[in-house]
Amino acid sequence: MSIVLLKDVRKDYPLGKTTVHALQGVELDISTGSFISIVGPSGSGKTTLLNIIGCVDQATTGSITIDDQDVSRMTDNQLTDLRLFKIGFIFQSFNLIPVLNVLENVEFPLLLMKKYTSKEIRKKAEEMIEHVRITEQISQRPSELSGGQRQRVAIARALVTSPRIVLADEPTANLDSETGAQILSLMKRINEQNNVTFIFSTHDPDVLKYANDVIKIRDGKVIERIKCQ
Amino acid sequence: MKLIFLISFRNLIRQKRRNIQLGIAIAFGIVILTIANAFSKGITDNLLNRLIVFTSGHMKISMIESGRVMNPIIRDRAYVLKTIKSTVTGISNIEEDLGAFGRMIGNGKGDYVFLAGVKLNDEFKSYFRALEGSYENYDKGACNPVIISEQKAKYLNVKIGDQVRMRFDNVNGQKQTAIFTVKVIIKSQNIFMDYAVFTPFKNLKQLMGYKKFETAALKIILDDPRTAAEKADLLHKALEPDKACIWSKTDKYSNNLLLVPFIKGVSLNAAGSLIKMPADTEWDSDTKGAVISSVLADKLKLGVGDRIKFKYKQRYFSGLHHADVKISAIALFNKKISPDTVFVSNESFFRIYNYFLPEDKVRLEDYIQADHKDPVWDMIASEWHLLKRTRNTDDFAKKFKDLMRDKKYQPSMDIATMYETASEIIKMEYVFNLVTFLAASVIFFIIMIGVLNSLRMTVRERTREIGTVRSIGMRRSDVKKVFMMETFLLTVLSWLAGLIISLIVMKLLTLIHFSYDNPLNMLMVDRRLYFVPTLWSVFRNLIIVFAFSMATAFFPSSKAASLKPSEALRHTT
Repeated sequence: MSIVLLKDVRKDYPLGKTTVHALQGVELDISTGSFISIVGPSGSGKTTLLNIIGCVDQATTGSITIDDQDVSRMTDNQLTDLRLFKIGFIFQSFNLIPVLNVLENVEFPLLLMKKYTSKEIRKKAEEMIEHVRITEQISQRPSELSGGQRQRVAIARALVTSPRIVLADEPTANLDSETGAQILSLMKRINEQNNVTFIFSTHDPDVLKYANDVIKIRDGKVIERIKCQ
Repeated sequence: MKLIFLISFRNLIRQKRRNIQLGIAIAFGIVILTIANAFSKGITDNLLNRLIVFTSGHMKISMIESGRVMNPIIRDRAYVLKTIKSTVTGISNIEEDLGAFGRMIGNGKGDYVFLAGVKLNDEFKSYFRALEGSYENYDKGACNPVIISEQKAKYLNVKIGDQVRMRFDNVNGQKQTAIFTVKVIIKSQNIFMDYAVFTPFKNLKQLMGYKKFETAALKIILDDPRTAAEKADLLHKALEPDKACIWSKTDKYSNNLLLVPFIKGVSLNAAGSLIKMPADTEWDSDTKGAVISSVLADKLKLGVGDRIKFKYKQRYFSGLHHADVKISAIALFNKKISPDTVFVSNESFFRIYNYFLPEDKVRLEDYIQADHKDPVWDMIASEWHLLKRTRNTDDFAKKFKDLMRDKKYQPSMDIATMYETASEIIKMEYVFNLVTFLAASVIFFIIMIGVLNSLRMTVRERTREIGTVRSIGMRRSDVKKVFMMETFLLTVLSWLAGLIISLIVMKLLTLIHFSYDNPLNMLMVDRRLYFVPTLWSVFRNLIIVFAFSMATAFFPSSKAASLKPSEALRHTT
């Protein structure tokens, strides 16, 4: 069953007097529970593709369906809610909120949802923190954490809302190989346990070991899709 | 909202140095604004609630006879007081205003002074501090004690126990010389008041020749001085006079006579067919005496040049008052006018009426049955001439100049407010308020430009964070709220700090004593700067600062909220 369906998606950016064609007719069908890696050289359109799937950017043309919802006609608030309730984000530079501690960072999206009581929020956040094994750092601010710990917090924050999809833009790029491997294992474990769809961009060849599918992209086009398992 | 508050507050602490600097700037603005407001309010309080209260009151009712504007006299004090109390609300106090202007002679030196009648109270004692002598029993024993300022005592070369002489006009326009004993030497809180000399009210009233039921003028002190004009207008309506008349008896005649005054400068031609003079009678508006009907003349066997005698009950004296007036003309009255009506010239009538107010009032319509539109009614003078309300000092001065020239016996009543009697003081207060407000506004405008720039810088620095929170699922409106909340918190904290600092600064400034005399001393209290920080002005400042800062924060916050998440995430600082 498709969770992400892209049809002839194009994205053009104006750059000075010229136009950059970041995506050129991308067709993509991603099933629920996949663990997909998008690979390609710098400037190939990986981040743009993730941004469009994550509804943080809008395609110039084409159709995008996320969890059976056509996002092209959604208002900004509807897109915001879609991101909040259905999509989790993990960034290359972790992008934690510096003024909040670990617990507060993880609680953050739950508070935005306005769906749970304070107690429920606290319980969910603590469970997720335990799940990513950073309980000892629960009261620390991001600046007091190592890169790996920060990324664990980012993963916890992305997963605490029980999203259908998690988008990770080069999640291991700022980590050493050992920590990177730990993070990927963690993501894989969550993927398998919770049936969450993971889509991540990477340059890291080790990542391929974890992925079901590898989508190769170049010059804004999907040039190959490799089934790994 | 809890989340927004938390993030805003933490962000505020996060950029400590910048926010402290900005906070200091806002607090500085608040200090300036609060001190300026408190000083301005102090000036207002000093001028409106002290200086004006002691000089003219917020409202003043006076009556003038024969153009003697320096010697006003309200003949029926009780009636005017009763009308004031039933008409005007929010009265703090009503005081009788009594004073005489004249030359005072001390020990080999003389000077012009304003001698004011005073009823001692705590307010007076605190405003005019006794330097020598004591207010305790000051009015006992000595004949005509006076309270005199330090400067005036020096000028007149007098000390406690010395005698001074003063010559002034009494209420009847006669020269009066009185001897006073210096009992208290004072220092006024206000240099402006140093030129007045005070004596007990009852002594001065007697010296000036006022009767018990009379007074010179009435000062009204209001709870809210700003309502003076509006209340004066109300009182002006309530003090609209009736037609004057004396309902009297005359010997050997069973009917009562009704004496009514002509207005000054009356023309009998205006009466048309109602009053017809015989062809050989000379009568014009300057003629004194009375015009009686030929019927009454026949009954009383009186002719032109005779005096018609009458008696009537008085309002404030027991027994009947006997008076007479010369008959200057005998006329044919139309049947609409009772033959028992006696028309008296303005001067002849009010010479009697003013001094011996009649008790009884009758319906004039019982004697004069002409339609109220008939010109005969316009020929009859009222109990007093109610002067038109004026709105400024120029009109007020012109009104009194005309009054001095007119010299009519019929009393003229004036209702004035501080806006006319003390307009220069009001103008000064207004100018001070305006200047302080403008100065504070300019400072604030500059500070707010700082807020604007700082916030723009903050938005720029936090663009990636904005991208992150927007990606995670924070709505645009919430992003805006975060920045607005940050500014709000900064403003409130700075306001609080500014308020505390300004209270301390004001306290310190009031400790400075300006010992030398200069005209600005009139804005001070006890030669010290005077601040009145009110709760309202403190919160008004908060509202002003809040409005300013929210307005300046609105645009950068809106810009932050409108950033596209993808672009914000790509942003590099």
